[in-house]
Amino acid sequence: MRIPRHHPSADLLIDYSAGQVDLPRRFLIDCHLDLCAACRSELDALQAPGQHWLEGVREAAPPPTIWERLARSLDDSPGTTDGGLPLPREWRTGSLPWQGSPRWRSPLTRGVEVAILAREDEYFLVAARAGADRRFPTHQHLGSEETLVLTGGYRDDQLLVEAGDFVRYEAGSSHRPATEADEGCVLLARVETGIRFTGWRGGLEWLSTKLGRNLWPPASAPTPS
Amino acid sequence: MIPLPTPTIDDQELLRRVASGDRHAFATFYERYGGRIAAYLSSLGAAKTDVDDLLQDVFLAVWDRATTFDARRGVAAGWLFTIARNKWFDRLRYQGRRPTSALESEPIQPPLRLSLETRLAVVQALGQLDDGQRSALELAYFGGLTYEETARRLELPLGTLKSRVRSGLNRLRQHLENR
Repeated sequence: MRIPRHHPSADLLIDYSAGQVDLPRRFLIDCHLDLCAACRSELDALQAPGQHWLEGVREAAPPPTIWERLARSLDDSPGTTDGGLPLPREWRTGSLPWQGSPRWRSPLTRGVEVAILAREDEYFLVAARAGADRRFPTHQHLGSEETLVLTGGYRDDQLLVEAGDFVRYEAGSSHRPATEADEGCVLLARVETGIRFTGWRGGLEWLSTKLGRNLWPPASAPTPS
Repeated sequence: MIPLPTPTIDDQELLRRVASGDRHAFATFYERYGGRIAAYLSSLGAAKTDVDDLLQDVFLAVWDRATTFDARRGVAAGWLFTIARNKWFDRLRYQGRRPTSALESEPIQPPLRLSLETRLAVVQALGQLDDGQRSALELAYFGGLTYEETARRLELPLGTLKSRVRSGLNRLRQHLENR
């Protein structure tokens, strides 16, 4: 299995260990952790104070009714799912932050598709997929964007980003990612606020907004399940 | 009824078994930590009815995620601590924020009954920090406030608060590793 080369920052892992990250970001980090032993090890060290704290809580009997509810939940669970994406592992149905299969749409580029999976406040959890030798539209990030590649990879002016890699783009940055000639890419992204297309797509986006229809993100973007 | 627990198995082995779908191991893990997690969630400010729901959510996450727990490196209690905090903050996010006035009346120190040994270890470790780092960690790492709520409570810019939590947690971690 490939060892990821790009990781969440140390600060981000601290925020994760403190439970202080929103759901789209947590899902990306969870997927990265599934693939990255180095970050799991770092996180274990960060969780040491919490471990001491919890181990020190005086033992008490757990609430008696909850086990019955838990056991029923396990019995009733419809099983696990990959959520319609090549996730690092299957998730129990209902614990994914979205329901059903992703609804793919093309952002005005042949061979590239995007699906909004969930949103929390101004943050969107987005999936994107592209075949081999494709270019995503050039776009500017209106807020920060964090990306986790699930399969394949892409290249932009700065980086080669491959399966398991977690990268962050700051607000105001722009790029035009492209897949390699022999391999496509499936990725997840946590997008703050949205993106702005440049070039002719930007003109079309401007016109579309004037007509009261957002190209991206659409007004009907889902909320977490 | 809870299946007969197997108390002599350590946490790591229990979670290995939970990952393979062993409900007896899951029951033992629940028996071992369910009461502590319930007490911890109460200390964060969860109402009694919420504690039951959250407890269920936490242990369903354990069942779901046990395959990802790295038994060679990880310590189950630390892993569980983070899951419990995530479920608590998820609930806050989806039930709406608490009014600022309610936050101002909550005690800074969570009313949690800790063993003497832990109290000494944590107090000693927290004693290594400066006042700013200590307050930030008590509220936003051990306590139940979000970063935004903690920043308002301590009258700090959000960036400063995050910086104090991060530097404080790194120092705390180093101190505990060197004990």
